[in-house]
Amino acid sequence: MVLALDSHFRASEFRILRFLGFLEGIKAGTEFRSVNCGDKTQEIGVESLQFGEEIQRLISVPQESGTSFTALLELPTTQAMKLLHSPESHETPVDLSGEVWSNGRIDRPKPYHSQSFTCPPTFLSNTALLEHASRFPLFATTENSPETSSIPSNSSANSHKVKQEPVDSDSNPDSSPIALKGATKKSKNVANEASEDGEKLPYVHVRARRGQATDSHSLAERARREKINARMKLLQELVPGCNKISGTAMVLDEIINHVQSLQRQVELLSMRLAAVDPRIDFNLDSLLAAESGSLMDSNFPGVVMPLMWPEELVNGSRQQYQQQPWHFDGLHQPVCMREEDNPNFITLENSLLSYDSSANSASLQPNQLKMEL
Amino acid sequence: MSSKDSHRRSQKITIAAYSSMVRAVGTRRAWSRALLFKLRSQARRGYVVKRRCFSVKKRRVTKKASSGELKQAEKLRSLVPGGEAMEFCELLEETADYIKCLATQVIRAYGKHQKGSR
Repeated sequence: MVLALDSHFRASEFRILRFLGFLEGIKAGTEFRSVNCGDKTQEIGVESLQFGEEIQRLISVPQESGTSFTALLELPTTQAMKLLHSPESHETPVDLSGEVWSNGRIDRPKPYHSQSFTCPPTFLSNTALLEHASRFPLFATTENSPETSSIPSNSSANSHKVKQEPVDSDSNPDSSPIALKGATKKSKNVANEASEDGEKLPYVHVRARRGQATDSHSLAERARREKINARMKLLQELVPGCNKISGTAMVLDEIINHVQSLQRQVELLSMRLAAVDPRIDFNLDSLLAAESGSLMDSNFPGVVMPLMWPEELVNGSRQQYQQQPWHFDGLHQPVCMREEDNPNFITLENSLLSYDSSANSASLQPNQLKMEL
Repeated sequence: MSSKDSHRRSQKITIAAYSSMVRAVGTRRAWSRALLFKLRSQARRGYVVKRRCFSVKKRRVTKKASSGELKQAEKLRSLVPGGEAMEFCELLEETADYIKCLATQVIRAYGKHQKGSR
């Protein structure tokens, strides 16, 4: 199945190659080809940092171009670029070729051609595009938090039951107007998502998909539903054993059970740590009060957590006001230590995401602990 | 140790556990902000606030409950700190982050426990 997917994406890549070649000439085409056929993984690592800036720049580009169609085209193409890379990289997608794309776009704002109409629907009919489009606000808002970006985007293309016109060949005049309708609808979705991020796009004209209403309410409702579905997928990935369950009700039940069990485990383990390691009481008031100042810039050093963990055990009464030196050390840690929190999160999250493999063993041992009690 | 003392002790321990988790996350997330507020007000007052004035928030919640997932949404709101005032979409996102943080804490606590017992 992996091979089939790969060949499918290669086919769409070649189609885009043709499109690019038509628009920009040989130069851009060869650039794209060299990027594509080469080793992507290293470039992805390098380029992922620039990705955030790319997104901002590419979003702002539609403001410069006057036409609504190019506004429509801008975003889907970049999304498509992302998607072409994402199934192969399984990481934050790269927009290296998207940069080439957008540069050409600024020079030639009106690539109207009969052939160009068929090309966008071709790669826009990618199911993963819509999924990623709906995930786009999620990505954009949580750009700063690396933990969400390190969640591997599930490249299963069947999550969204979108009616797909099978446009596998360019020369299909019957399906091209239909595909165009579908394309414009999806690009309107993308435009919707981008506008949610605060950018003001020019007024977009949209044509409805077949059998769907153009009502603004229903459109918004559909966008909202897609957002919810994207987040449900995310939750399904987090909670082990949820992938097989179908239907939101059961999945939510599973999630609730999982949260409850996690909370119980946290309390249990902290009790055990307290029993093992009795320490003198520390002042919670001063802790919580002191952190109000440092949390304003949300730069609190995460390294305090490992420091605090043995100290969390509260024993005895609260009368002793002890200004623990470690406490202030934690507050005045150099800011560079804050970064430890993020890599910690990522590494631990990787270990968490391999939870499925070690799920049984991991869950058994706390149960054994409970038995010992 | 009397039962009341042990209860108080366990309460303090859970407070400490959650406050350490919240401090690691900071104010990035809505749930951590809500939990931080709750812990701070609890520390200030010295006791836990029992939920009394629920009607105002409940009115808003039932309005949004037309999405179809009534009971689970309510349950989730009660579990995730600060969930009552969130919309369903935001609630799901916060739940995801909350699960991640809890699991991280469990793993670290477990590792520390193993290390300490050796």
